[in-house]
Amino acid sequence: MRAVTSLEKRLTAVLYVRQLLIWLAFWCIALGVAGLIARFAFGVSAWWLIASLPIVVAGAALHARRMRPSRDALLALLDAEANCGGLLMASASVPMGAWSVEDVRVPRVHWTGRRHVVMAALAAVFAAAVLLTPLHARQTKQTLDVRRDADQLQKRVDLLREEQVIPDARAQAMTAAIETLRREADAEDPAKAWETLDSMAEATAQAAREAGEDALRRGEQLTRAEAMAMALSDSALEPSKVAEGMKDLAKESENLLSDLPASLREAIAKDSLTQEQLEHLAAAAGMKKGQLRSTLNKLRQAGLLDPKTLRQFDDAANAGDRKDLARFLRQNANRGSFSTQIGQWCQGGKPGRDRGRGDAPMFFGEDAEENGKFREQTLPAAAAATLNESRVVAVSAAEPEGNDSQRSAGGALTSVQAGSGSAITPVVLPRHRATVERFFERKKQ
Amino acid sequence: MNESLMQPDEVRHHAERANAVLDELDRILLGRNDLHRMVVIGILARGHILLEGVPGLGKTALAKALGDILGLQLKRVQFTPDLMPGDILGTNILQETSGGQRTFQFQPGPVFTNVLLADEINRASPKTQSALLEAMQERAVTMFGVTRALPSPFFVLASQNPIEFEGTYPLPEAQIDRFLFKLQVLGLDADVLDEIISTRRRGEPPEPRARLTPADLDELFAAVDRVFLPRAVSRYIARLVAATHGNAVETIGKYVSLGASPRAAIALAEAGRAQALLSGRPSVGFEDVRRVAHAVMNHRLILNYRARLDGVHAHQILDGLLGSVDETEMNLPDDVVVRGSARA
Repeated sequence: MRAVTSLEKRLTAVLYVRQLLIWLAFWCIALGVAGLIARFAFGVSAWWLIASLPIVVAGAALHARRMRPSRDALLALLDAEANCGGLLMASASVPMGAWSVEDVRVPRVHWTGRRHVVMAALAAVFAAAVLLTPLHARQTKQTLDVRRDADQLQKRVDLLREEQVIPDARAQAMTAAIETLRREADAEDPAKAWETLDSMAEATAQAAREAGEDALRRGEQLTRAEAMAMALSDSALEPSKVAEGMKDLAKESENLLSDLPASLREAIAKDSLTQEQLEHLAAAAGMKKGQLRSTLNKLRQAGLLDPKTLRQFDDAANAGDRKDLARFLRQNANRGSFSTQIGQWCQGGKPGRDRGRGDAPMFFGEDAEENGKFREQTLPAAAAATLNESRVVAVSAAEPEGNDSQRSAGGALTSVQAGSGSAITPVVLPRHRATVERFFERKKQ
Repeated sequence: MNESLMQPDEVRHHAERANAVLDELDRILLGRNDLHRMVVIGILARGHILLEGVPGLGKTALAKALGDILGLQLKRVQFTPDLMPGDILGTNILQETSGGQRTFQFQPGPVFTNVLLADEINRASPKTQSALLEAMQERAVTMFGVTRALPSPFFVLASQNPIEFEGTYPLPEAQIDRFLFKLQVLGLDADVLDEIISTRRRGEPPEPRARLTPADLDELFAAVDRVFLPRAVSRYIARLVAATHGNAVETIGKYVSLGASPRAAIALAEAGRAQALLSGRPSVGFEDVRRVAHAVMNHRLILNYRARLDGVHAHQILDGLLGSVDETEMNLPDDVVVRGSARA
């Protein structure tokens, strides 16, 4: 029957287009994914995958054919549409005899395929994007942005060079390495770049640490030379030991020779320094220590040196009070050579709260006055309470430290009168009074 | 399987006869054309019919008129709570012969007739109601081990008050399933009532005229048997009945505790055939099935308590069922629609 055949063709065409779009959508997605893998993992072209298109077309056709309703179903549909009362269906099964079925109109096939079209279009765009993306785009090297770290490292290298911690040649080599790293840091292998940066940072830190240790050593030497010069200048040595002291001073002043005037260098060489020359020598030692201190401070500010080293340098560079030094030398005149005494003086034991190292000799400086007293100071409440429960374990020669800002400004018992026995001072507001009274009335009842 | 379709002349002849019965019913009882059509379809399909409605709507008059028109013997039994099975089926009574011997002789009950009008059937006790089970299904009565065939044709036209009425016993599912149709007899509108008052003295209907003989009726039955049932329609019937079980249709899953029986499928096919013949066609279409579906299945769906709570009736559920089962079984994707193939 023509109507059935016509409807079958229309329906098959619609189903085929529908299935083709679905199959194409999935094929495009698969093609895109496969293309991504092929191109970006293996670096090969993916155009050959398009050869699978005929399979998709054939598959869609087969699927559409399977989805097509049976001829009986189409007959039933036409029968129902044309109100044939079963005659059209009967015509396919039994002889019609005198019955005839007029040619029925073929119903229209509606397909709302916007969803499939959009899906197929998006999938096609995805596949096209994958296939058409230039392959060299993948080959363009992705550099790692290490500018900030490189800049910081370069600043440290420049500082080390300026402070002559590292020689110019090494600084130039490190600068060249940093520049190379800037250019060639590969994003695909960032670990390599980071390792290089870490290695160079460690190298600068190591150089700074070595410079700190050297400065510490030189600072101690300079302090000893300064202390010797001060002692000789103040005539703190017995006359019989002055010559020995001059020799020791010459030995300790070796590091200063290059910075000293020629006349002074000659006097040192002859072990015959005048008082003025000794003062000049002490001042030169102090100036040299200041330079070292400045260098160390810059390194610390650049993060290359820890504050502890700086504190150690400050401790080592403290030559102490001249009068105390003279007194110390007089008290220990018979305990070793001048060089040894100066060494002990520089190790610690100077008056003050810092006792120096454990093996430093005890030295208390000026004697305390018999009727002297500590300056009165208000302790914070917590410290005062602690005093009641404390016991004396030692007596300090230094003044107790205190801070007025820590003074107690009030507490839970501030407004409490004696004998009240409670830290809580509740305030009953007028609007709560009735409630409170009812509460206590209830208890009485 | 039919060898060939009934030819147009044959179909026209039988359809005219059947429609003559219908016309006569419409002449006698006014304003019930649809009800009369379904009753005639039920008779042509050789099914029993249950008429439900409040008293005074003409149920009994309809049954009596039908008996007269079809030229069949009609007996009426008024069902009451004290009615016993023997009162319907008959009983053995002791009789003395001319020779002086006494023997039990079977006295047939009113069921031995062509048309049994079981008036207010749900006023009898379930025991008495069940006495009709064999008669309705086997068209025979077995008493004291003796099976006696009922006259042919045999129909039960039962009327019942709505089960919400006082003093009624709901029919057992087994018996209600034996009724081909359950038809609602509703009230008449004002125009029809006005016509009854103005044309009929004291409301008495005109005397029915016999339109058919029993032989004519047999021919009609044979013609119904020859109406062709296409395969697609039979599958549609099967899917309709199957859909009353399970949750494929939301309202059925929610409100139906027991779906239609296989008898419903058979009844749909037979009633569809009769409807097609009455319409002058030699084959059954989907429309024929839809037209009789409510009458065939409304009493075969056992609704659950939720349906009662929600006030849902079987007819509403059947509307949903007919709307959701695709008659053509195209199995197309949702986005592909052949105009008219997807029923709303």
